[in-house]
Amino acid sequence: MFTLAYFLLWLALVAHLARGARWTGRAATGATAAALIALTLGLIGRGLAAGHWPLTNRYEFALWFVWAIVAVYFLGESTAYILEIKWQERRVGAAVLAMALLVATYALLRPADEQAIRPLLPALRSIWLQIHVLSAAIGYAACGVAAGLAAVRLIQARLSDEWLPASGEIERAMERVVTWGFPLLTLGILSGAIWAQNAWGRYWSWDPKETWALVTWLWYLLILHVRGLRGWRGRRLAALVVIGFAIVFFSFAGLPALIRVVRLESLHGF
Amino acid sequence: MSVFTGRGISRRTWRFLARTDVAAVLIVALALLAAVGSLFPQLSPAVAGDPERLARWSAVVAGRYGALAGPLAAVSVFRFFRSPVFLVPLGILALATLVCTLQRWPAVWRGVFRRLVTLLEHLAVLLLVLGALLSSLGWREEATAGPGETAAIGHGSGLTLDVDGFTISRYPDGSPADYVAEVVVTGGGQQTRHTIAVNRPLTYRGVNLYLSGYRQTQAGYHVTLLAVRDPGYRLVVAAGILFLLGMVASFLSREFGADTAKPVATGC
Repeated sequence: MFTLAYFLLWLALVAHLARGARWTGRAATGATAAALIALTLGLIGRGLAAGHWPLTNRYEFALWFVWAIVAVYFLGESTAYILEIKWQERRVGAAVLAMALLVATYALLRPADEQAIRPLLPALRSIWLQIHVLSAAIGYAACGVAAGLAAVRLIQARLSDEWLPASGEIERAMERVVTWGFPLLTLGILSGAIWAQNAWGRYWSWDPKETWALVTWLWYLLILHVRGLRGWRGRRLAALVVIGFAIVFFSFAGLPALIRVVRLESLHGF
Repeated sequence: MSVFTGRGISRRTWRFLARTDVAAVLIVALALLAAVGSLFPQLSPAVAGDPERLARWSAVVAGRYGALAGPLAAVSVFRFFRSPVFLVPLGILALATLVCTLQRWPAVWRGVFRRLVTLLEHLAVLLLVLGALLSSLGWREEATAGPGETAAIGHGSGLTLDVDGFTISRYPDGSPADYVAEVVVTGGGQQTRHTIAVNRPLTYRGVNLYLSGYRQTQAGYHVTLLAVRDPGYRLVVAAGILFLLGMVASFLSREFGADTAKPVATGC
């Protein structure tokens, strides 16, 4: 099911990039919707097979991450409604789908023993863990969608005007996604802290993963602060949003390598 | 020429700290510092307070960093998040948050809803810092009790623990599903029986008790319990919830069209 979703995502990306004809636009939206359905069914299936929420390791987190990027883009009224449906503008979606494919490729490349379904460890049996992982996945996804929009905003000057909607529209969508994503990042950290307090008696221990969650949170806090300053909207803000997703992706995919190199201990499995 | 008087300087400092661009620079500085801190293993207070564990930790660090271990420790990279390098900019940011909060009160009285929302969020950040400070006043202590043994908790808690049963339930494939300890807690002349499991700690007279490990010998299970007194935890969680509520309120204010703020040069 996830392989099918991966194929559909590529199909959607190609269709989003195609010029002109009405049928390619419909194919683009259709393939995105089909990918979202395939991902949803795959996650439900995996949950039923495991007998618990599939939220237990890096592979499963990556699946939710992809699901949430597509869902936030496709269902979020501020992005899909304005750009894809209302403006009949699908090329912006290509950048967002590229972000989804980046994470999906990462998920597909995980080793087989990580992809295997395993029983739930005692420390992971907590409602706070489920809230933690889900809000982090959706918060991360919002960062990814915003970065896709921001990337389009940055290369916009090099493209002809008919290719894309007005820069103001892209900026507005990007800012709205960030303002919705930030509370989810906050909820992710808060629920993680509550879980850690219940499991280990310490809500914050400067574990590398926690520290990078703080770095990410501070970066988006920065974006929300400079947004109100004169001269910071537009390309500069877009650049900060792109860097923000680089931080998110590093703290998700790059941190295990850092921990290996520096040989730090981390309690976090993903 | 009030610039050179005491009042002039304090007013200028006040205005400086209330500037959003100053806050932004501080936020970037803290993000960079935190990233640097994540590159080094951090010495936890629990290890620092236990001579035996500290010696083991020091040996590992000496082996890993060789001749650099001394100089690195001297610039406190191993207790980075408790060092002035990190705490001073954090303190200045907290002060800036306080200044901005105080600055916003008058507008709130005039009924500007958007200002109330930002004020709530800044207040939440201040409460979070306060909660973290309170947490640093708490203590942690591990105690192990084998079969027929009684473990005493210090720090003036007056608690003793007897482990009256320990069970490991397993999945069909043999991997552990749950660890559960039956514990008899004695304190203040009373004796009560409780269940402590992973993710389900016991709170007894302000002390939280966690199941932190076990060791099996021929005599039976030796269960390690972690006793924690953390006076700041509740405040930290309350601050987090307040912060989230503030953000929900800010969405509502936008829906009601109250967010008509124009970009500003520097203001708080």
